[in-house]
Amino acid sequence: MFRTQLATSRAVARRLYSSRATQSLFVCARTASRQPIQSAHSLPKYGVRVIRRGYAEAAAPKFDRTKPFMNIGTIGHVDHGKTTLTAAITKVMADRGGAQFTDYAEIDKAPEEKARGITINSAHVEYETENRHYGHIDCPGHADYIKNMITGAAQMDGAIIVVSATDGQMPQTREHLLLARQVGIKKLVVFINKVDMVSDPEILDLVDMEMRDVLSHYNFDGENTPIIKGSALAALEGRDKEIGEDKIVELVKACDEWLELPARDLDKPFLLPVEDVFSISGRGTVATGRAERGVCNKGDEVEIIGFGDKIKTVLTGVEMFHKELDRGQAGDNMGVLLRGVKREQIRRGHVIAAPGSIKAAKKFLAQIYVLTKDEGGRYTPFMENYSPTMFLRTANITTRFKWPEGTEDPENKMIMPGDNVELICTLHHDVAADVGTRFTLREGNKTIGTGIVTKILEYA
Amino acid sequence: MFSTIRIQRTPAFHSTFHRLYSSAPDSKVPIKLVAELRKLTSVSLSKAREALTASNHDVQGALAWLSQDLSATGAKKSDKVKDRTANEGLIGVSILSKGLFSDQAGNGGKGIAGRGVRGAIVELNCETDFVARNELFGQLVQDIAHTCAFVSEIAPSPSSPASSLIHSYPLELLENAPLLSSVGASHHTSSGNYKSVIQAIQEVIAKVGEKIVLRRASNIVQPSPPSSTPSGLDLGLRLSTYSHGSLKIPTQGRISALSVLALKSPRLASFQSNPQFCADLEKLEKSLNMQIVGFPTKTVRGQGEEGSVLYEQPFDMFAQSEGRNIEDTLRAWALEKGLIENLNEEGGIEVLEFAKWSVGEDLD
Repeated sequence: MFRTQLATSRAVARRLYSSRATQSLFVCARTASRQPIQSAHSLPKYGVRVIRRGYAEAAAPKFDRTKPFMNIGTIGHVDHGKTTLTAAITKVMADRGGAQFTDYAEIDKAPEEKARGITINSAHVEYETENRHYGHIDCPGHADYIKNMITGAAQMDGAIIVVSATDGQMPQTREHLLLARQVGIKKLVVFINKVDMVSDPEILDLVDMEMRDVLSHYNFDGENTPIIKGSALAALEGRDKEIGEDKIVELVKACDEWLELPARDLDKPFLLPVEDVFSISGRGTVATGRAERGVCNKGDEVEIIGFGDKIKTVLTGVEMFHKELDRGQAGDNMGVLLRGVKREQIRRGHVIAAPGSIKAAKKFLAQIYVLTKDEGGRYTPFMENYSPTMFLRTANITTRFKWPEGTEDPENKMIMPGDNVELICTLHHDVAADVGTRFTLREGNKTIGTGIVTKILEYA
Repeated sequence: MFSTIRIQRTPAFHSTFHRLYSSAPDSKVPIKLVAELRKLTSVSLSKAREALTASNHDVQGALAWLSQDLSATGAKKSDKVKDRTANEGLIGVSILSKGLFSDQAGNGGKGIAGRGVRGAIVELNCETDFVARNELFGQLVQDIAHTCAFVSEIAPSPSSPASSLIHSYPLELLENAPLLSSVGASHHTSSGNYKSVIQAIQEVIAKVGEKIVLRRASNIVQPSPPSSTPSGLDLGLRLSTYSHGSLKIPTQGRISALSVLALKSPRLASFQSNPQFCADLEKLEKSLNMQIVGFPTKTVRGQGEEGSVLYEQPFDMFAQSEGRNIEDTLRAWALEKGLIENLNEEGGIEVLEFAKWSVGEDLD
């Protein structure tokens, strides 16, 4: 049970380098289920895609991994054309061979999905630009975006804020930007929609100016954020090319240029969570596990971190399938031979990492989703000082919750199944953790919650 | 904001207003003024421009125009969005009088005997949780709850049983009642009339562009029960609440409970001047409400599916319960505090009734 649990969390951690494949299968499956309502026009494509799902065939389009992958999302008021824009992007990119057109009605359904057992409402599409491959999500509400972030189902690395030229920013634009901050988005692109419904160019300038103001107010780079003015509907209906299709192309280009790619796992510093430790006579101590990120070479200096330790050592050997390797990389199930480390010095829950790349944390702030009864979680609420077991990589640690400082009446504030909360986690012993590290919370033999580290408060 | 409009609106202005309105040409509205107006209100761009055109580019005039027009726009908009589903939102609770002992703060009441209970609980729905998290919406919920607690006609709907204390309040009556602000300042329209609840809702619809509907409202207006002993007070009511998932205003959230407690003791009057007792009582009330909100509670006592009867639940939300169920804990508490002298004596403390609402739940 516990192992499968960890396997899932590892899979999520490796999302970035493997997500392209999963995403595509995903969209495929979705398309298949929706096919009956599609027009005959798209039927040939459909056939191809179903084949692709099962097994590769010569004619099937190959999943191209040469382009870097990135997840983005659309955020905005219900009437401002989020869904129309998403549909328009797929249409324009489909014309350029980089997507499958997904109609408005299909996106708008935002079906329920289960990611790590948690129900999330979100619609996904994918498309390719000249330089990148995008996964694009569209959720109906704040809570769904947060769940997406916590579970890593479709972490947004950037977002497009959609605002209508007729209305300008709305009172809830504030909430949209706060959400973007909360899910860790650093850069946004703004699309001012429905420009064909406004005759006065000065009004467009005002929307532009106001958006820049409000972006700066919420600590985004308001001055340099690209703002594209166009009409998603025109693009979707294939009319008024200069405000329709052209603007969509411009928008996608702005995303390519302005939104920053997240670092690929392979480019990050090496990290291997220790699953098991053996002592091999004549050779020394071997730690095994699946490398989470980075690359390691025989002879590299590394640190063993966790349980209050910070042991410097050298990888004297890297093995996979009982064969020696010179180099191991993210995703490999490997064993590493550690120079001068006794078997008692290292155990499951430690990580072996590139020196200085990660520190052990004792206390951090985390965004946590508490599973509902239907998702297999708790039936009853809990209060602060509750202490479940946290499973973080291969470590399991008893944790105590506190409300963050400034919470009103913290002793009387309940946490109920289904809640998204930000809590301070105080760990019984330290563990290597970064902002963005995901974990699972269990009590007895039940998964009661899942979370993501948002801020380290105390290092060991 | 609307009160400022009222001050600036003079009879002289009225005439200007009309003159300019009729003669206002379709001239270009200075963008600066539109920006200024948008900072003062939260109306949409097109509305801001319309207002400025109508008032001949006078910001104050436009504000006045807007305050008149907003509910009309809202009405139009709300008609347009009426077929959409609104399942998000907030529950708001307002307690005007907590009942027994609530004069402690020295607010000049006429003594404990005269304190009845008065409060309300309302549910206001919108389409997305983005709007539910917005301040405009939160304030509206609070004002409506406040209004619902204030409306004096006790209008029990035929559906609620005669014995119940918390009555559901007819939505139509509440929507047409003048909105009373929970923060003091009263809402006026520019014509000097009070703004009704439905107008206030429509104004927010005009600003946020989502469907907003008042789904249900209940209130409790109960005078202090007559005392049966010559010594005066022996029975009193208390009203208390807890809301889960509140953002800024603690009396609103995604799940809320409003509950009525009764205290009965021949020595009740002696507890009035005991601040320790009152503090402990509030703690107990909070725990009871948290218990109602946090657990699948449906009734106070009697028959019900497993775990839904309040009195049979172990009192997990109360530290001194020592694993006992709520019924026993309340008896023990009453004995410990001296409300009763032995466990066989009639009286003590009892939960009479509660309303537990959660946002978007299915109504029977």
